[in-house]
Amino acid sequence: MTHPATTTPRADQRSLRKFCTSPIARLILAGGLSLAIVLVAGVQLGAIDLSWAQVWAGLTGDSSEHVQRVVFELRLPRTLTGVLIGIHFALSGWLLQLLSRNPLAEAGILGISAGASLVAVVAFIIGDWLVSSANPYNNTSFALQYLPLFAMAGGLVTALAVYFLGMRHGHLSPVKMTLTGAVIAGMLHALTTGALAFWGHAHTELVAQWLAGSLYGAEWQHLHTLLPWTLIGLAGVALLVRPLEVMQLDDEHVRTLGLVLNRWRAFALLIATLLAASAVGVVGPVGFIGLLIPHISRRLAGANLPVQLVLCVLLGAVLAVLADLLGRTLFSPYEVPVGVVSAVLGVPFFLYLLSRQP
Amino acid sequence: MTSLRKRIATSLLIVLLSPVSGWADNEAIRLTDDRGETLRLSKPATRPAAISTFGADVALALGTPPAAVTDYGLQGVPEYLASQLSGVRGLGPRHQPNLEVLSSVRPDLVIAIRRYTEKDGDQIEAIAPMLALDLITIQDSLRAVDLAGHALGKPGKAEELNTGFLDRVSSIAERNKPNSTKTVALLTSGSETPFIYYDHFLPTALLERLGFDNVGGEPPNPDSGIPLGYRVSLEALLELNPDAILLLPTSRQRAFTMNPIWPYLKAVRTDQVYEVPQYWKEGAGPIARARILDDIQRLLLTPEPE
Amino acid sequence: MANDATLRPTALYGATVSFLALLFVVGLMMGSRWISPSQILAALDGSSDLLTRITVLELRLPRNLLGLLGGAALGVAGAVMQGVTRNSLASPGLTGVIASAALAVVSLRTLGSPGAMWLPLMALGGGLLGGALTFAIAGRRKLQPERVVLAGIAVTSLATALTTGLLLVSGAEAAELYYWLAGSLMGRGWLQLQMVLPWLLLPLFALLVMQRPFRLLQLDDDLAQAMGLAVGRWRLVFLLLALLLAAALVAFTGPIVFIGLVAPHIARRMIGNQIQHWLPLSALLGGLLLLAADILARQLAFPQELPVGMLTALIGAPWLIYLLNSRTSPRSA
Repeated sequence: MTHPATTTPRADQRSLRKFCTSPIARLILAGGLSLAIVLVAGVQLGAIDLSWAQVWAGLTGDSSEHVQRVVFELRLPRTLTGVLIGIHFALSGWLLQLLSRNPLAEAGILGISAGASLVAVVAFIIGDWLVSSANPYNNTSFALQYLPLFAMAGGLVTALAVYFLGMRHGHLSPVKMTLTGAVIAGMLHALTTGALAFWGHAHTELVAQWLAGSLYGAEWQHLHTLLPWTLIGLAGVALLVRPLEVMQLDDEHVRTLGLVLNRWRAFALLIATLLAASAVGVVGPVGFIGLLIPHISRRLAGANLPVQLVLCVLLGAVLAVLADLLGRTLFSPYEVPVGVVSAVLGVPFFLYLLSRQP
Repeated sequence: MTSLRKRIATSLLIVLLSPVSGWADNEAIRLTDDRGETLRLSKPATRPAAISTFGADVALALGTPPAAVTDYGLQGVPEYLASQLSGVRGLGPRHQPNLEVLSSVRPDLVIAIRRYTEKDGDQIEAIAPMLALDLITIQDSLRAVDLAGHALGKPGKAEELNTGFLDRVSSIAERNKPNSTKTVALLTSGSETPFIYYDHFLPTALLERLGFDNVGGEPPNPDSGIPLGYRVSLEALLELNPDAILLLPTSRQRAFTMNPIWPYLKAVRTDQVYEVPQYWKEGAGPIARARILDDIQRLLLTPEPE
Repeated sequence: MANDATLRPTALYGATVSFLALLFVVGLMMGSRWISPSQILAALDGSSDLLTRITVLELRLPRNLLGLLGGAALGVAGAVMQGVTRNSLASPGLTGVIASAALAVVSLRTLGSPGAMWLPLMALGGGLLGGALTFAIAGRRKLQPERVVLAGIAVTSLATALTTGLLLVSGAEAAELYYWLAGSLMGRGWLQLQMVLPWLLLPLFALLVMQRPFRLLQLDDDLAQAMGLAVGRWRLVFLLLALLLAAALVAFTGPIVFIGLVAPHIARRMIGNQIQHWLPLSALLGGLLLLAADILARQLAFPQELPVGMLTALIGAPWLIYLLNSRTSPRSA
């Protein structure tokens, strides 16, 4: 394992050459390289076999309709959406772990996934009731079109509730927020399962797929929906690096720095929530990326927050795309949703990481 | 707009602008599916892809073998069609058909179950025109077979299948006019929490037409096909006490042994509990619905001893 | 912590038991049709019509008993977990036990055709793995409350993700399994009760006998050891018993959450320092909660039944949030 602990942010201010050969640079390069490899694999591999030439032709618009469709309409947007949600979940988890000062936190604890899931299930049920009770020739696939927005709203509302209930004596208590989140998430999950059991008999498989967190059917439209949030999130996170570094000091120091830090906390929470909720809204709840990637990036980057951030972005994308790739190629034509693969990959690795902790 | 979309738009434009004289001709087929969407086929389809059992069923019944079908995951393709579907490309489960495989098969028509595929409508339609069908009631089945027949260029055959089916239903109903109405229930299993189907569902609707009384009752929302039924409490089932019970297959062996009221049900005591095959659940296809009629005749309408 | 509202034990027990008895009787009366108390008595001595007799004796009576005993089991399991880990948030739900037990059952039903006998065993195995995983993740050292909860969430998420994945390949069974996963007492009769009873009664009995070690474990570890207690071993035994109670119930009713968390908390508030009453009262309150939830489940969506898991969540969660907000610290005293 590299030990960049000796490399402080000031090292970056020295000569460029020194930087390029420093451990940090090597890490980031490795991360970027992995991402590039995984991206290529994501477009090259899939349920049907295509040669390099065919894929290249597909990308440049110079091939048969079928290859063009597979490469450009199916695999490419799906892979890129995977990149985005990987970034979203990883960054969200990273922020939450820093905020709650607990390495086991991720978006699920804020009830975001649970809130979005419940809204999704309810939307399916209500949407169907609305569509079918109206004129049968009415074409609104109501719930399905607006599902990302609804789900995101559900996630946001839940996160807000958890946030406000997580306050103690006027400022945010990470501990209380965690516990409240756990309780609310548990409640929403039970309600979601109950709603699905009671009303969803005709839709079970459909909703199950969404609830598993899936990139199936991801198209350019999803990418366009998600990208603004990615940019907002990245901007927010960039702004947060310095305040987060300050927040890593112990409570005494933090307290003396006063209320300003509280506002930064709230902002961090908002960014984390936006990132997670938007991702869940588009692909459904995907766990473990937000749990695992911050751990890995911490192990690799040490206490260097900016580097952790970059690694989260890179590795989050890698994991999401890799998980999706495995899921759709291993049992073709069946697909294992990215949420399930990331869980299966995530937990043993997570245990391994924890067992190595001092 | 990608070049692909341009190409589709152009072809549609060509089709629309080609000489259309206003009466039905064999050149362009226009159909409206259960979503209210209009499909245009320049010629009858010869390579249909089936997303749902119905598609495979109707394609086979009309003599146009499907190019690809969906299945039940670990349970494979529907058993009653398995022998005719050997070697046909698999698309995965009906709610998540593999779009890459679908594209590679190059179908010219997709026959799909609406409620599971509507969300992916755009992507499926980029590959081939999609006929999205409800497939819940008898009317749905008749209409679906008719639409499929037109799409596959065999409207006459489809008509034949439909009238044949309806004739058979009425003749069976005539022949077996019962003195008293037998009550019947279609349950998903004999377990502690059975799900019972309403009257509008194809198999139960058939039972009603054949003179039985389905205790599942009228659906609360007649214009919609959904919900298909409801989770019946055992107390309610005990009160309904049907004369005959039909059970759909389930992985839980002998689940009825865990059901506390099972021994008290009339159907159980008079040995009128029958397991019916999986195609009862997706019975809209011509082959399946004929078999359902066979099953009903065999199980419930054995000739009365003189 | 001095609690002015500490009530005398006899009054407490009296009130709880009477309320419980009342709910039990109400449970016998309510269902798809109303059965009056006189009809219930008639059913019991065999003089009513067949339908009433079957409904009361085969359906409502065992169902209520299962609700009572199952709720008691969950309440006790929660109290035991909270007591021996000195963590007021430990419970079968939040430590991943319930979700893992459910996963085991769903795997069995998806991948095979199990006989009913295998279900409790599979559930136990699953719950054991899940609980062990949670405590392993939380760390061998301090077992801080939040770490346990977060580890439990991680394990629950894993179990849920795997369950959802399995449901995707379960084909036609999916709807049935989803209904089971929502938790329900519907249709549970004497057979189910008989099968689950040994798994519930034996641990309950054992816990009754092991009162002293239990009390000692709630003190500081060093103190308990000084008094001659093999702390690690006893902790393991108690956690195993709690696990048995929860997982066995899950095998028959599906996952029912929050009772194991809420009942001990309410009990604790009622008894203050009189720790010897904590387990029995948790049992009574657990039974009461589940029974109440089940009755509501039968009536709220009449003539259909809601899954009871929804209701325990609806009842339990707000209560817990209230608790979280009215205490200064989430750690147990």
